[in-house]
Amino acid sequence: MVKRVLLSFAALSLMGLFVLVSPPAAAAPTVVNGPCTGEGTFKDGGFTKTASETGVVEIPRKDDVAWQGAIAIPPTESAYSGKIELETPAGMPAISIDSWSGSSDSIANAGVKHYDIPSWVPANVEFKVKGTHTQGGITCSGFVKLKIKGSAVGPFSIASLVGTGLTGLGLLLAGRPKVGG
Amino acid sequence: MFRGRPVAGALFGFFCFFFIALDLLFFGVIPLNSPVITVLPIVGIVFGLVWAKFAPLPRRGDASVPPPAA
Repeated sequence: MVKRVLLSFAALSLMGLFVLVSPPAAAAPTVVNGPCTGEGTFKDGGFTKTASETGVVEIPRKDDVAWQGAIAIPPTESAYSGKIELETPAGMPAISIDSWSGSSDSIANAGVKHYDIPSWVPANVEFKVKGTHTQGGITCSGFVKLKIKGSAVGPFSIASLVGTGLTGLGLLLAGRPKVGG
Repeated sequence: MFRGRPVAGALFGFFCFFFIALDLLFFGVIPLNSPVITVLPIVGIVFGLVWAKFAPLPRRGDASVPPPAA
């Protein structure tokens, strides 16, 4: 049970490790809603981010993150559930990263999580990851904008440029009058 | 009436503008959840059809044909 909550907070903290956020202060950015707090410290990256982060966070491709998260509700046994999704282009369904559910009286947790994003995932592309966690009838939700550190030049960007050139040539030639036309 | 090739124009317009959207994505100009990624290919189809309708390019070999004498 405690492990499930640990997993919940770990999952919420993963991919930026700070989806949970502080209660909105007077002029605080509204990237997160709900009575939650959370932050993650990137060991190799050498920085700490909280869930109130509004800008794009550039993260190393792999790192160890010391995370902590809490939800401000009475520590009584209650059902919980949540999920993390990757937002995709308009009109396409979000991609599920993780989801969880169960019952627990734990309202806070912390730990260290190692992540290693595969090399084929392009760097320098901005992703928006959104997450929610509901426990004891209280829901926290939020999002974080991430970008993997590294050069934009890679197999995908080069293939895309080649594709643009080839299809652009085809488009150009489609503008020539038909023979006999 | 199309002077050019409408099917090729629509197809290449779709893919060309789709790749342009990917270029913008991979070079960090737009985020992954941007509507531009879904809108640009549609714009490409329209552009390709308009491009094929007017077919402003000279026909192959036209450039080497001398204009008729006045």
